[in-house]
Amino acid sequence: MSAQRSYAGLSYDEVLHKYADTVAGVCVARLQNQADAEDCFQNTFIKLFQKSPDFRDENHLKAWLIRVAINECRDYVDKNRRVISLDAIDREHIISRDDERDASWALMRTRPKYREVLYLYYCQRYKVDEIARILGKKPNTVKTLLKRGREELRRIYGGDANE
Amino acid sequence: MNKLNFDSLSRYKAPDEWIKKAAAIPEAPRKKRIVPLYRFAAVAGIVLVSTIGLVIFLTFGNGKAPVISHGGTGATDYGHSETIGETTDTLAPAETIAVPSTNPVIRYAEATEPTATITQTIETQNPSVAPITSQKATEKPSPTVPSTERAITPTDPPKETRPPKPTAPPPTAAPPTDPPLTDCRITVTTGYPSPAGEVPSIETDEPIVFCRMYDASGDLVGCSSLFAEEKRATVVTINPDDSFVVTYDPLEKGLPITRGRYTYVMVDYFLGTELCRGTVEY
Repeated sequence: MSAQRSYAGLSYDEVLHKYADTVAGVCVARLQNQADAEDCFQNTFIKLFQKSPDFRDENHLKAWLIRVAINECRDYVDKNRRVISLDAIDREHIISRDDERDASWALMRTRPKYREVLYLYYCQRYKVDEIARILGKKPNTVKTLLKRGREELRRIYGGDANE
Repeated sequence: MNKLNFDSLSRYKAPDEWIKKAAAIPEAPRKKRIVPLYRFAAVAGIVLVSTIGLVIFLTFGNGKAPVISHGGTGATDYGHSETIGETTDTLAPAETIAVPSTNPVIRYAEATEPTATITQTIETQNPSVAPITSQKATEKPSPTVPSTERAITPTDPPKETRPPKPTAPPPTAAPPTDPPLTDCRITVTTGYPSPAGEVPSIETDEPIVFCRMYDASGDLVGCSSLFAEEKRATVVTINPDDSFVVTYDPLEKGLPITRGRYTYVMVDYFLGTELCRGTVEY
């Protein structure tokens, strides 16, 4: 069944192995919980298989996967309304703080609306216009979120560094 | 910020377990395909049962059409033959039959086996008009007036109009053993609706009544056609209130009548409804 379907020239298994890390990173960065992130991860690929949209190229495919993963995470949060405390995040140790130069842990502590933009900008290396298309926002909005997210990230990283 | 990196998130590796589960996703929808098959089977079953039920209803339901027409619903059934044995259980004597307002209100009495009862329910006509009332072969037709009349329309009692041109009894039926002719007075309070589409060839304002004779075993006397000419009764007169008097002599029509008890049923050709029934003895 999967061999019969093509996603921008890739089979389902090829898409899965190529973009599994990206989708998993989006889910973990958004939900900060392994179990919840896994649910959204699976739902994202279920939608990929069921809907089988026509993709122009692999960039389109990757952006679609990220967009669906973010939406799945949002829906998941809305449905469950679970608030994960910072202590719980520390206990799960999703992102370790072994490397002093790795600010991933600080990014995980930013607010979700900033976290999505920061993750796409710094981790996935998307440009502002691309982030705007993925998130369905205006570029200026993305720029604003990016600017405020950097400030919050600086506060979190700097404050914690001062401790 | 340039000194910092996000390697932990950028190089986040999806657990192998996640990938294995996601790789199995294409297998899951295959199992779900069974569900539509079940649904299809269920729908097909419902349709099949409904179709069978409809066929059964159409097949056996028509056998009960006389019962419906007896109730004065105006059901028309011109084509099938029937026997008394099939309907005697379901045809309860009805003193008056209420018909929907769109149909003619037909009130009639049912003549039962005893002669006395017949004289109660059926008006006898002028002696010159052969009465349908059954009588013993040894008795002569007598213009006895029924003691009680149950079947006359209360709002419009039948007039004692004599037929202007009475039909004489058949000359061949002169011997004392001649079977008496039957007479049936039918009161119709309203006119006929337009003839049904089944009988477009007959265009007449006069009522057309057929009389079916059944022997003691319930078999139809004469040919199997319910509306053969040999079963057509003669309309003697039509009253201003649309009631009419008919006579029927089976011997005159050439039916093989022998001694015994017969049941007659007057049927309106246009409406297909039973107007009256009774028994006669020859």
